[in-house]
Amino acid sequence: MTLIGHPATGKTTLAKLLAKNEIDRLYFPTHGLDLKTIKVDDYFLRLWDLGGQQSYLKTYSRDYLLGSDIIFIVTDSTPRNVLNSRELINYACHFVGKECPIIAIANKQDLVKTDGRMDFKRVQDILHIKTYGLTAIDPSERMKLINIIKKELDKIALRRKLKE
Amino acid sequence: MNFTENEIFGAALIGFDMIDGPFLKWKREYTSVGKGVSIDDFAMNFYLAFRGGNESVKKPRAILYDEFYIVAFPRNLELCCLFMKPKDLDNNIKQLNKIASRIITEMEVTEQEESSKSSDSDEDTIDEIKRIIPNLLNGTKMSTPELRRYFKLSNSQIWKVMSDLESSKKIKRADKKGRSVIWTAN
Repeated sequence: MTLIGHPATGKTTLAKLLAKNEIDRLYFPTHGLDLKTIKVDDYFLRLWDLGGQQSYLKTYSRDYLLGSDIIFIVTDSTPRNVLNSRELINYACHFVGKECPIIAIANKQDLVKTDGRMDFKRVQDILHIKTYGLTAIDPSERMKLINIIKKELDKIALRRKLKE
Repeated sequence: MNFTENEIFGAALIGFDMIDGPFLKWKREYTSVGKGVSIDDFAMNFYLAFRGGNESVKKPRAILYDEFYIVAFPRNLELCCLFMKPKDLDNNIKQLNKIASRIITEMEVTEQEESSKSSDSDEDTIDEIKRIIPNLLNGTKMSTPELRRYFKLSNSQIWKVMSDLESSKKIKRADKKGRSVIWTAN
């Protein structure tokens, strides 16, 4: 599973939420990429968290997108970032086929009412891909994220007839 | 570590742009850094070598290459790299190489002993191995023990796989080194 998105959209926080790591609110950019292995029910997820800076995306995204079973595009739900994320979706589509779903995470949904961010339905309308809303800094959202991932992985497994 | 300032033959400051990533901010080369190494081209590689991943992971302070080594000092998101000439390192490397060779040899013996006890791989895995080996040997040569280690197989298992591949003309014997057969793709 690969997480891509522009800088500071919350990819690493999402990975930390999933891995039950402590979430501090300090932003420190991921340099290059970071790898985590996380067990979610029957699945062992190898989670590639790619740094959002342009030079990292250019260098690493191609290789890691190619081997992905699922790609999450993380946005911070601000109008500008959502619009810019369309470019990333097109970019990812070049490397993967239909069998690898590209899912959007409209992160920072806690700021929708106070900060002019878009709710996840609006983000979905703009991105034209399945979109889930999330607040990755909130540890209580972990189950929600796990359920999203499980749901998508179950669909993939079913498609590949890996499950009995 | 003992060194004089003239052992530093280059320095670079790699900055970090939040949108674009690492970039070379400043450099000074007193003499050429090394054959085929351009600080401009390698700025991002150097930056990642020292700072890759997330902050929680331990980071190296110095990295030794064949013709030079770099000692790096981070300041916030910037990284100051000092390029140094390896001095009196050849002898140390030779000594360390001896230790490494001893460890590798000891592990080979242990692995061989353990491989005789290891359980059989299932048929799917063996089929996958048979698919990968001809690809692996394409344009290169490898010995049976090497291949056995790559796939964690027992001696009998690897020989069964190699014989099957040889019969189906996907691989051939290229050489023999001691008691080991060297294989290549057909």
